[in-house]
Amino acid sequence: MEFTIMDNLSLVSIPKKARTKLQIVDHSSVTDSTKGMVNTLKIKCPPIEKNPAKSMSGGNQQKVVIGKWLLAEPELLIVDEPTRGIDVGAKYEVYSIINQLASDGKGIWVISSELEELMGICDRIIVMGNGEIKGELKKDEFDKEAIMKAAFHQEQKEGE
Amino acid sequence: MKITSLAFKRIQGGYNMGVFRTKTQKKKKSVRQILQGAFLSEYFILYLTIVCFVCVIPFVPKIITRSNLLNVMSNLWPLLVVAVGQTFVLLLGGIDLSQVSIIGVTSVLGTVLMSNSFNEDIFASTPLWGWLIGPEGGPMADSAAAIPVCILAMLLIGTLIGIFNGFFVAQYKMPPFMVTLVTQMFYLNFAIFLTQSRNVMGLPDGFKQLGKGYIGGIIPYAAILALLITMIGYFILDRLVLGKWIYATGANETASLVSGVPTKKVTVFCYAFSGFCAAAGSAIYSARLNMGRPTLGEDLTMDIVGAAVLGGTSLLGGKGKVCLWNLP
Repeated sequence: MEFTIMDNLSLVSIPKKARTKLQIVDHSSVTDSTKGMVNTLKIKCPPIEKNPAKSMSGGNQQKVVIGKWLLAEPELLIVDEPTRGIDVGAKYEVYSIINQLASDGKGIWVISSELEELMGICDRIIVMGNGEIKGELKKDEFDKEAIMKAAFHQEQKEGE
Repeated sequence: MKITSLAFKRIQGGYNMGVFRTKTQKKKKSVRQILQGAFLSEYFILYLTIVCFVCVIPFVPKIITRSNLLNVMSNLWPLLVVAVGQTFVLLLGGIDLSQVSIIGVTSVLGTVLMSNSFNEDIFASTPLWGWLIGPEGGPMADSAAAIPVCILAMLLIGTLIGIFNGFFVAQYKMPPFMVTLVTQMFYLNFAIFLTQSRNVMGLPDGFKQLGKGYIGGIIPYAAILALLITMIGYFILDRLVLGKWIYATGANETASLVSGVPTKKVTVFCYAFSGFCAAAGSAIYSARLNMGRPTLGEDLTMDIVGAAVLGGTSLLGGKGKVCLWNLP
């Protein structure tokens, strides 16, 4: 949090960008790639070289974390509660980032407890309850009731 | 949506205004602002030292004579080397108290290996007598390669002790203060035990040159060594990925770990480098005294940590740097 936004963004991907065996930091490529990421994710922030990450709002900090991993060019991105505690506008941005990535052919694994969110962005939902997989739903079967039923089915039976 | 976008705009506007304001400040700097800048600067202590030095000149003109300056500087070269190592550990938020005893151990072991003669009356009672040293000197006595080999051995021993410290701090999450305090006490007494508190004498002339010799009559060898190690430290912290990792680990270890930083390796490296620097400092100290002394660095702890902290390194970790030429 005390570090500059650029250091935060580049921490994961920096070894990939390094030159030679000694791992010298390639400052120009780090600057280019982080600035590019700020533009593509539409992160609203002060100049990234000098300002600490804590100077941004929560939503933008969340986007920095996503951008940090995107710079590492993953094939599968696992996001756990990607929109917890951030405002509506930033939520929308996060969803569009996830959709954009999915259309680029990357795998996204969203873990969330918000049903509307999952129904909006997922192609397939796997319901878990009590540490077990309780059900799997395809996009056209999405239904709040069905999901909740799958999650609590076991307990209901026991209750009867 | 509208409200949030408005808020974003406001935030942006606020930032822009901030940037704008600082820019106008820079254009018309008043005396007060310059003073304020100097007081708040990272280099305030450096400025203060220079001012103090200049103020003293009229009263004690001796202070700027060549011999005095050289003397002061030559006292400081080994301290600089050791403090560079300490800075690395402080950056992690740790502290390395064992440096002082690393100085003692390496001083004794290094000089024992290269010494040319031992007084039998004094050294016969030491545990090294008979198998490692004899009346005709240590194993490397009178050998042409004695000095470089022994210095390498000192650096190796220092690094190993550092790795030992780092391993316990990184692997078992022990408080660095305790780990290094224990190793400090252990190695200090180990050094005393090795020579039964005697000083090792009879070192080759070349070694003495390392501490007292000058290149071209002005630049001491010790200065070159010290500056070399400082440059290595600067290079690691400022240019290498490793440096970024050290800062990140020091500022927030958990966040660094989940961001793919090998924090344990980084920790071990920092302690190893600290031990390495202590050994290098020990080589210079021993060369200056022209003997190996088990209690060589005993009272230096405060000097070393003090030097690093006064230089702007935070004891909490993550802040500070080794700089040479990027002074304002």
